[in-house]
Parts: sequence; C-alpha cells; structure tokens
Amino acid sequence: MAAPTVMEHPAPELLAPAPETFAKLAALEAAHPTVITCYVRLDIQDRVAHRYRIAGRPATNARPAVRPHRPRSGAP
Amino acid sequence: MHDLPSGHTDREAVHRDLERLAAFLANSGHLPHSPGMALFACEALDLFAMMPLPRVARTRAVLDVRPRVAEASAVAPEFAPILLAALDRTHARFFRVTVDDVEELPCLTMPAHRGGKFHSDRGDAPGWGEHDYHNRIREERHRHAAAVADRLSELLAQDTWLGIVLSGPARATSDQTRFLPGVLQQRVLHSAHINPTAVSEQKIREVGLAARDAARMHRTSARVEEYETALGTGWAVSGARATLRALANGQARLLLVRAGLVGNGFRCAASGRLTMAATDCRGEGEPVPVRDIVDEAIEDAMRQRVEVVVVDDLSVGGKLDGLGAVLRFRSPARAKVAPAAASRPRSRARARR
Repeated sequence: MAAPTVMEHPAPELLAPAPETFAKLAALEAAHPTVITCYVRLDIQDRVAHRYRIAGRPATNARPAVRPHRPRSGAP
Repeated sequence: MHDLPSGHTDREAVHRDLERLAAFLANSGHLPHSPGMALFACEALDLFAMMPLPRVARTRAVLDVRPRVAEASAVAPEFAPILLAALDRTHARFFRVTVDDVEELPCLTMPAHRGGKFHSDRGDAPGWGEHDYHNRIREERHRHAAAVADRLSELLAQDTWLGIVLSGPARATSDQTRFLPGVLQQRVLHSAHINPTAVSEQKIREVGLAARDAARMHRTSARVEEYETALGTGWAVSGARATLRALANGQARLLLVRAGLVGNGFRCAASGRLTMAATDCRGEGEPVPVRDIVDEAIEDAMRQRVEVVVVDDLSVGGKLDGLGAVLRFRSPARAKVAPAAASRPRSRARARR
C-alpha cells in the first residue's frame, strides 16, 4: 500500500523591501477582496513562548464580517 | 477593511490562504530574524510572499482587493544597517548588522607600541617606573580611542547607517564615547558589554536587535513627550473621535495609538472618513462597518505618510486617551468657535437687559 502523500504548504516567496517591490505589489489588484495582508510583530518579547502566534490568532481567524449595518426601523 | 467576500469560491480561497499563513506561522524556524514581517497571500493572484521588516506597529491582518504596503514602504528606510564597534583597550572590530545578517568589516590594526628609549625590545619592564608604565598605557588607550573615532567617521561617511552601537568593557565604551565628535555622539543608539575577542555572530545579532529596540523605545518616549507638550498648547488632539477627524482632514502629523486598543467603527462611503458611530456619516454617504477602526486608522495614517507610534508602556503614555494626534495645522473652525464662545455671555447679558 502506497504511503499517503503529505501535502505541505510551500514556503512564501521572500521579498526585498525595495521601491520596485512596493511598486509591483501596489500594481496587483484582485476582482474581489481576497488579498490578505498580515503584519506580524517579531520583537524579542513577541517571540517568547510564541506570543506572536497568540497575537496573530484573532487577526488570521476567518470570522464572518461584523454585524452588517442595518438602518434603523422606520428609516427610508 | 473589507469583510469576507460573499461568493462561496472566494470565501473558500480566503480560507485556504489563511490556512497557508497559519501553517507558515506555526513553524518558528521559518521566521526571519527581523523584528517584524509582512505576509501577502492571494490565491487568485498566485501571491504568497513574505517581507522582513525592521518594525511593525502592531500584529494585524487585513483583507482588501490589493496588498496593503503602506506600512512596509513607510518603515523601509529603517532597514539601514547598524554599525557595531566591539572594542577594548587594544582591539577594535566593526560589524555591519542588518535586520537579518551580520557582516564583519576590516578591523582596526594598531601599529606596534613605542618601546623604551634605549631598550625598545624590553616591553616596558623591568627597569621602568610604575608611573611611566601607566602613563604609557593611558596614552595608548587614548590613541586607540582616537583612531577608532576616526574609523567610525570614515565608515559612517561611506554608507547609510541607522546608528552606532558601542560594545565592550564599560570603561572602553565610556572612554570611546568621550572621544567621539558631537555629531557621532548623537548617533550612538546603545552600548553593550561583550568581549570583542570572543564574540559570536549570535551575540552580535542580539546586541543589534536590542539596539533597535532601545532606539524604538527612545523614539516612543520622545514622541509621547512631544504629544503632551503639544496637547497643552492646542497643537494636538486627544480621543478617538477628534483624532479620526484630524486624520480625515489631513491635519495629523503624528498618530499615537495605545497598544491593544481595538474597536468597531464605520467608514463613510462617499468621503472615506472613519467614524465611531454610523450617525456621524450624515451627508457623507452610507456608513460601512469596519471590523477594527484602529487598524483602519493606522492604514490611513500610513497612506498619508503620518508617523505612527504604538505606545506599549502605559506609564509613558499617561495622557494618551486611546488615540491621539499631533497636528500640522489647527482647524480654522476651532479658531472661529473661540470668539463666538467669548461673545456669548455678552449677548446673554444684553438679552437679560
């Protein structure tokens, strides 16, 4: 019996913080809001006991949108 | 921030991207050595990239139609390397410390010290008085410090640096500070105790990170002090509502945010202004709810090239009421309100008569 294939996520491409990189990123545009930008703090105290992951959990938690705005009853 | 897309396919794509991000964050071995990073992910655009950053205001994720690069581009100049000098009485090594790399530069070689007048090969002893011996040592220390100061000046002129870190025995670093010219003294970020002859790359990296942290703390306390002074003279606003208004008017020069602050809010569809309540958008389009108004305020500020400072230390930001801003110009409306308020009692008095 063949061993099950383990699907691993590929590592992200490493980008250098150069003006041309920013220009390239700024030119990208998706048809729908599907582009995720995640900023992560990695100071020494954030790395202790993987605190950066705890801080990032609510940020990367795919919850549905906040309560949708509904006009007050009686409003046009 | 946009909410999750309504289409099932798009929502599934976002979920897969979030899984990719979570899987990457789960392995701490993949993380860069830098104090922050930005991750960009979009399946539709075949985008999954990571950018190490020298500083991140706060950990957050944003969903939009395009990558949000405002903060990354704003902090890019801070990528400048640190010039670290590891020195003692006789040695001086120089390191170029970037956010994720350490490179050793040519060290300073001192010529052989002057021997005695008649017995130059005897190396000071025996036969010399103790006073002369110590005087020689002091003189050599001073020459060494002057040579190090010269070398630091040369290196600083050759490249763009964030600042200088002096490391070594306390006496050597304090001596060296006194020998630096005024311009160079202002560029000293930090000093640390290390042994220059037996220092590892890891230790140099740690000292570099600590120096960046110290520089950030110093910058934060200086900005908070500036904010408190400006608040007293009417050149700053305090509180979320006033700060968001100043940001929308392009008045803000410096935005201060208390760490950990979160809250829902709205963005007016027509004007793009952020507000705390939906009713504040009257006449400015439909209020669109945003998940975290603080994240949005930071994004807006970064787009306007406003400096953003997140105050972690509660003892530093005593007068900061959640959000605050130092202004570029004062609102003309405010100036108009003052005379009207001053004339109000007079008109009331007239009415009473």
